[in-house]
Amino acid sequence: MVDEKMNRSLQAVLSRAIDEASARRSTTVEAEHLLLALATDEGLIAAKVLADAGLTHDAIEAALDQERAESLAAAGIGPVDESRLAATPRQVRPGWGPSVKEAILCGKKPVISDGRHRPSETELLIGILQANLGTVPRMLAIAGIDRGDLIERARQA
Amino acid sequence: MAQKMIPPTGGPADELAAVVALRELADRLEDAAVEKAMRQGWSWSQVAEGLGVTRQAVHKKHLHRLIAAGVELRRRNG
Repeated sequence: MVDEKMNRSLQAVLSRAIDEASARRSTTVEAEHLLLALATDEGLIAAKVLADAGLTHDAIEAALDQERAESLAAAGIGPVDESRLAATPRQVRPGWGPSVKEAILCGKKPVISDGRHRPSETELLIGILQANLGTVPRMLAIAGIDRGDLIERARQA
Repeated sequence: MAQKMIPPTGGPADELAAVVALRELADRLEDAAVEKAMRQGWSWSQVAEGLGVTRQAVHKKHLHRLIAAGVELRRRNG
């Protein structure tokens, strides 16, 4: 998964994404965890693009919770009391989920189309936003974020 | 943008997302219920019977975290 040539900053993002997945009790690391990891490092252009759209780390977490709640509601399930879900976390490290692989692949496409050099984290953000696989597109739609506009902002940043 | 956008909300998207959310909820409920049962002295076999899976499956999935949680585990007949 992790390219040997991958820069340290991007490696740090991937490492934080694993922690984000664990914290959210996910058995796999998914694109939304990458998004959370990008939003954490305020020094990144990607984090600034997200923050300008209102997507701080806390806001992304809230949007993810909202997406889950609405998805459960679609199956007729109301909110479940957190006390019923209290458990010691699983000890295994979450594996890479398909949406991460898709996001990384999609992040390479703008380079092919416009040849512009961008920081790897910005490429990754563009990939996360462009990928249709996984929860991120739905989370953004429910949060009222214009995904196309956000992709364009990331490309221009 | 070049990629075809599928509607992420409404209709089938809601129904498919519900499946994802239910799987995640089921996993969390399982973790909580297994831990609660084991803290109350249930054996691995009893928990496995309750979940309708093999004892080995429950053991493999939950042993490490229950040890980390300091749960007193029944060794025999379990």
